[in-house]
Amino acid sequence: MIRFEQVTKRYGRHDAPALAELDLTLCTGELTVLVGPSGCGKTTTLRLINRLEEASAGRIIIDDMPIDDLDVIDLRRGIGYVMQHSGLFPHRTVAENIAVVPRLLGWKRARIRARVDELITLVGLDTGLAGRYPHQLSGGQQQRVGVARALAADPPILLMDEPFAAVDPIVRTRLQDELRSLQARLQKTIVFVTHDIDEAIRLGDRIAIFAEGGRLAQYAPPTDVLAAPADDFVADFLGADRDLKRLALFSAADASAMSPSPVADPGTTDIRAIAQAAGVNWVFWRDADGAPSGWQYLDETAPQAVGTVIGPADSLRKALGAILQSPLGAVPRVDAQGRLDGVLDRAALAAVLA
Amino acid sequence: MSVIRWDWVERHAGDIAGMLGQHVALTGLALLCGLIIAFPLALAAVRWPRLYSLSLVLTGILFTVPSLALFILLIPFTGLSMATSLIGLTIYTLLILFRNIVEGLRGVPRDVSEAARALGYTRGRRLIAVELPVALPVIVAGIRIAAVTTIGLVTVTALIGQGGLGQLFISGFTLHFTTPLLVGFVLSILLAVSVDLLLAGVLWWLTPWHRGRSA
Repeated sequence: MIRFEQVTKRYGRHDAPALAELDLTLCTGELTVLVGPSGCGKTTTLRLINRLEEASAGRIIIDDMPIDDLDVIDLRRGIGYVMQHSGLFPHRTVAENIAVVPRLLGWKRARIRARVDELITLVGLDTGLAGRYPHQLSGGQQQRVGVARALAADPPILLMDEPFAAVDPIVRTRLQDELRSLQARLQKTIVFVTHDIDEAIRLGDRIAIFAEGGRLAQYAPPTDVLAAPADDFVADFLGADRDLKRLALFSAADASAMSPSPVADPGTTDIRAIAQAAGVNWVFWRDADGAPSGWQYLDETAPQAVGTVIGPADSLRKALGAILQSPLGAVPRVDAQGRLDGVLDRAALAAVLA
Repeated sequence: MSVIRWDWVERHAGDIAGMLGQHVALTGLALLCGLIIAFPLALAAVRWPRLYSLSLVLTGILFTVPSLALFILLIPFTGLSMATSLIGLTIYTLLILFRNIVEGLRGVPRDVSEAARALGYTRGRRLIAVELPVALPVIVAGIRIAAVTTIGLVTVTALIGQGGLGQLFISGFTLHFTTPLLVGFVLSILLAVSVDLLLAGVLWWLTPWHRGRSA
């Protein structure tokens, strides 16, 4: 647990504070994202944790120990740090870069080598890259090495300062996914700084939204922030498509399907009754295995191809896309076995957001 | 009559080797002293940028003093000695070395030294294990320029009784005899070129990570 108590940071004695009387508790094993516009104090907050900056007032406590009572070098060696432009040492190979902290800690050679191999695989790098120098790597590979270096001595805390901001969007999305699965396995206490609210929502167990002047505007899980922004600043920062972002956080299984359901099973003769009960002029057909096989307007004689099908793990944002593209304004949802278990329409999604 | 009289060269081979040795020794010592003085100055200048501009002005003024004049100015204090030429030569290496060490250290990417801090390097270890190695190409570039410049300047110190190969020029001019002039000329050029290549080779060997990149 990392606790900020009334922490203020001023760079010049007469300057406005970069961070103003911050009270914040970051939970162990969670990924907390600090997000906000530039100059809001989010990076300062991060850098206070390993004392790259010293607080002007207040104190920071890690697991009941005020960090000012710790030796600053020991503190830093016990906290992983990943930065925007990898910060890799250009004169060291990939393996040597990853080995930096274990070497500082005086690990045995064999143990270091084994750990480096383990980490190269863990972060999804090719072992053939171990002998390369950083400038011979792509931006995405450099960031992976940066993550491996930060994890090398297995620190319980990982600080990440806009680690994916400098890589292209496709690679960024992949790195975000990998970080999430890595975190699911490692359960580190991660503090992640970004100015990208979408990244914050995708990654954060909780997000702390900072406003100009180093004021903490809201601190909550992303779903709560999206559902109930604390003030106009947060609402503005989340953007006009806030509901779309919220939908992205729900899976199709979270929504209640239309009821009664406009679905006909093989052998049904009166599809009109089914459709009218649901208040529509069409039905989806289910085959003998329960899979969606097509849909049909009441005044037509043959079914049409089924089109997009939403699985239980698909996001509701994807479901909304499919609903907007469908002539029916509705999509079939299947369960994990591929059986049609309901039909989603706009009302079903709106009910989730309500 | 041939341009060069090989019999003279043969008869004086021992003397010429001695002069070449003195030339190398003066150059090497001047570089060494220059490095020993420039290094702490450069570290201080990186730490306190205001000191850097001040020292640049001072070393710049020193550099504009004509070399011969500088040696003559020193004679009252140190006489016609090795020390006189060494002090003069060292002063000239200083500016070049100082400037390059400072630029090299300042050229270390900010995120690299920041990463070293964040990972828990102590200040001294960060300098030795991270910042100096990264600055090495620029520092060695400075040593190469200083070495070649000094090899040229050593000949001037012949006028105050030192001078390595420069002594060949003195005797050549005094005797109106071209052979020593040519020998001195060719040897000092060969010396400068080989020292430059040697240092380039040393850099190449020390910085495998820098190969194939533009400096």
